[in-house]
Amino acid sequence: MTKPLGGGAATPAQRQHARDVLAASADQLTNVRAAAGRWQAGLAGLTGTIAIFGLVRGRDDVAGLPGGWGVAYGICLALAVGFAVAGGVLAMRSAFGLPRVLRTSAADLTRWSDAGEARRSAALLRVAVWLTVLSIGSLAAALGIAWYASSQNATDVLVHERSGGEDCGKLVRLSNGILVLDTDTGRRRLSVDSLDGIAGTNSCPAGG
Amino acid sequence: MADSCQPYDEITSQEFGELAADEFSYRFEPADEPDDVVFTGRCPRCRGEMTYVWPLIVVRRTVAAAPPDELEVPVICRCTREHPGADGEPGCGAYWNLRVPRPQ
Repeated sequence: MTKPLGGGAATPAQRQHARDVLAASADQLTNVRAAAGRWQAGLAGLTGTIAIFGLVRGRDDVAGLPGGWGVAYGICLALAVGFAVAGGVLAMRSAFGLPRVLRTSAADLTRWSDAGEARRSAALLRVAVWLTVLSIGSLAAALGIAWYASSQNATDVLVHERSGGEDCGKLVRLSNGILVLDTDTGRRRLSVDSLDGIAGTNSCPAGG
Repeated sequence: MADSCQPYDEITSQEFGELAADEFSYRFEPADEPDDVVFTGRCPRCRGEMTYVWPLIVVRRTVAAAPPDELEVPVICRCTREHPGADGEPGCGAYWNLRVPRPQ
């Protein structure tokens, strides 16, 4: 124990400040737990709502993505799930606490005081919020990849002619029985009657 | 000097602070990464023994800025004696400031 450096009169404002600090200190764990509980519900709702949009895209849609885009989509989706799970766990840890076995020594009880737990919970809640933001960002990136890559595929068509030949390119138009394609070798005009089949494709074969 | 029959009164004086600085002692808890500064001693007004725990940080509120090397802590009597007129408030009502070095 040590002697203070000095002392003197205090002002009524300082007295009020002391009372406010002591009251805040006494209530801080309860306040943090209550706030974390509401945040945890909010974060879970937010993540769940956005995740539904991610699930709307079926496996077949994703399977149709070109190779590189499919991998990027998978990585973003995995990150989104990982961030969401970590954020959810931390938010729950912040809201509900974690039972801890303590020795009854004064040092242990001081270290794991309610005040310390309130500060840890507040810090973990902030991390949980950021993880949820990262999760939503990753999910948005995954959806963006899926939509962007799909739209890139939309105009690539592979046509099979009755003669046995193939043409591949971007669809320009189909009118009056004439299919117009932009291919690597130039614009092609094909009569629908001459075609045996049409299929969408992720990328045209070289020379198509 | 003073005793437990003193009525509750929210008063302060230079003498309270100086006497408390002479008689009180303090420690930081935990010692390595302090959360609180804990004062123990006798209230300079009512002479009741008291322990005063001042949090260095609280969630959602921070302690007012202090000089770089010292922390000025407003102390309120928190003795457990009965004081007429306290109306549920702990202590005798006296308050004063104590200065301690900031924890390293």
